[in-house]
Amino acid sequence: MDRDLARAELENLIAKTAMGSRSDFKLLYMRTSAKLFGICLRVLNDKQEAEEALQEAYVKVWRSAGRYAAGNASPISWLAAVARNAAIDRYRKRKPEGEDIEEAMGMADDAPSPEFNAVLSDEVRRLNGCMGELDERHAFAVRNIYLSGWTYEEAAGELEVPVNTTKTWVRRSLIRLKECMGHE
Amino acid sequence: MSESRKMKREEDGWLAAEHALGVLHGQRRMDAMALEERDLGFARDVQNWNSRFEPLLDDVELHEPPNALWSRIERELGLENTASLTDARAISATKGPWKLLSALFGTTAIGALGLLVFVTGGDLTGGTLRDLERDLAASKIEVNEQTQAYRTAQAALEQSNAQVQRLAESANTLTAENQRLAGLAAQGVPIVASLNADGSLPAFVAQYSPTQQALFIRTAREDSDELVPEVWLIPSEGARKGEAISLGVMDEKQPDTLKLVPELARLVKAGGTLAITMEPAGGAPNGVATSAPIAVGQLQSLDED
Repeated sequence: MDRDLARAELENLIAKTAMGSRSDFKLLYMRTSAKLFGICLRVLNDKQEAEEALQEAYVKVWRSAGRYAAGNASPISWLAAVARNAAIDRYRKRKPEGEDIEEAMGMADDAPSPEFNAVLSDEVRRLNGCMGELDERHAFAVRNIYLSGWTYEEAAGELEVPVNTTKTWVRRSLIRLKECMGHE
Repeated sequence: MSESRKMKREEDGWLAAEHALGVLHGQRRMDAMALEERDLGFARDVQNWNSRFEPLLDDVELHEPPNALWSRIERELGLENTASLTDARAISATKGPWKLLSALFGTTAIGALGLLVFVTGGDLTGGTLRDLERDLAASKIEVNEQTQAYRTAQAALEQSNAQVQRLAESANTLTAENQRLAGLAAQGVPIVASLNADGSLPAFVAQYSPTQQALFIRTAREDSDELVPEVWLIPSEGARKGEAISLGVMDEKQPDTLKLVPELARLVKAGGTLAITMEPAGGAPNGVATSAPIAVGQLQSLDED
C-alpha cells in the first residue's frame, strides 16, 4: 500500500475515533493491534502482561485520540508510543523474569500489516543508514533500549560496562542520530 | 537567556530524548510524563524523537492478540451497550472556540466538566498557523467527544458505570483542587484554576487582585520562542457578556503579572471565564484568538461562603 495512503487512513481512523465512532475505533484496532501487541510482547516477554498492556494502550487511544494532532505526528509513532509506555510502565514495576521469549513469541502471526510495513519501509533505510554510522555496540544499546525497554542499568549489565559509560554512549548516539536524520 | 535557564532547557532536551527512547525509570520517568502533559514544547520534542525512532519498530514481529481482548477493551470503556457517540458532531456546527466555550459554560449542568474538558483540549504543539488550525480542530473534536460522552452517560447511567465513575472522579478532583487553592489564596481574592486532564496539578493558577487591578499568573509550562501567552476574559454578565475580550499578553519582563486598565478591570467578576491562548509575539492579530485555549477556568470569588 502506498505509504501516504496508509498514513492517511490511520489518521482518518484516529480522527473518527476521537469523534466517538466505535466502528472506526474497532477498525483501527484491527489494523494496528498485531503490531502494538508485538511491541508489548517485545518489552514484557510475557503474554498475559502484554495483553494487559495492550488493553490499557487502546483504552488510552480511545480516550486521548482527540489530543493526537493530525499531521504533526505520524500516527504510528503516536500509537507505538502509547503502547510502549503502557508496556514499559509494567516492565518497570517488576524485575525482568518473564517466561522464555521463545514461548511468548511462539504464536507469531504471519499475516501482513500493510499499514505499518508500508509506512515504515522508506524511513527504515534512513535510520538504518544513520545507525550504521554509530559504533556497533552503541547502536546495539540504542536499539535494545528502545525495543526491550531497558534502563541504563540493564543495558550496562548486558554490555558489561559501567552505567556511566553506557549513558555516555547512548547520549552520544542520540546526538549523532539527530544530526544524521535532520530535525524531523 | 540566563545560564541556568539554558541549562534547564538542555536538561529537558535530554529528558525528552531519553523518555522517547524509553530508558527512564522512577522519578525521572514520572517527571518526563508530567512535563509531556503540560509543556507543549517538551511534548513536541518527545514526538520528534518518537518519529526518529519509529523505523526501529520494523524489527518488531506482528502478533495477533487473542480475540477476547477486543471485548475486554469494549467492556472497560463501557462501549458495548451505549448509544453510538458519532452524533456528537452536531455540536461542531458551532463555529470558533469562543462559541464552543460559551456553549460549555452556558450550560450549568456541564460547567464543571467544561472546565476539565477544555483544558484537556489544550494540546497545542505550537509552530505554524496551519499546525495551530489542526490543533484547534483536534481540540474541538475532543470537546465534542467529551461533551457527548457526558450526555450519553447521563442518558444511560446504568450501562455506562465506568464513564459515570470517571466523571465523578473528575468532579471530586476539581473540588479537592479548588479547596486546596482556596487555602492558598488571600482572603477575598478571586482565583481561577485550570486542571490537567488527569486531575494533576493545575497548568495555570491565576489570582486577581482588585486593589492592584492586576492578574498574577503562575504556570508550570515553559515559554516557547515563537508564541506568547495571551489572556482573555469572557464576562458572564453585563453588556459584553459572552464576548472574548483580550486582557493582553504576558510581558517577558514581568512574566507573572498582567496589569489591567480600569475599563477592563471592571469586567473581572466572579462567574466570568479566564482563558489563555498561545499567540504570535505581540498578541492575537485583529484581537481574534488564533488557537484554542491551552487553559480555561471560571472566576470564583472566595469570600462568598
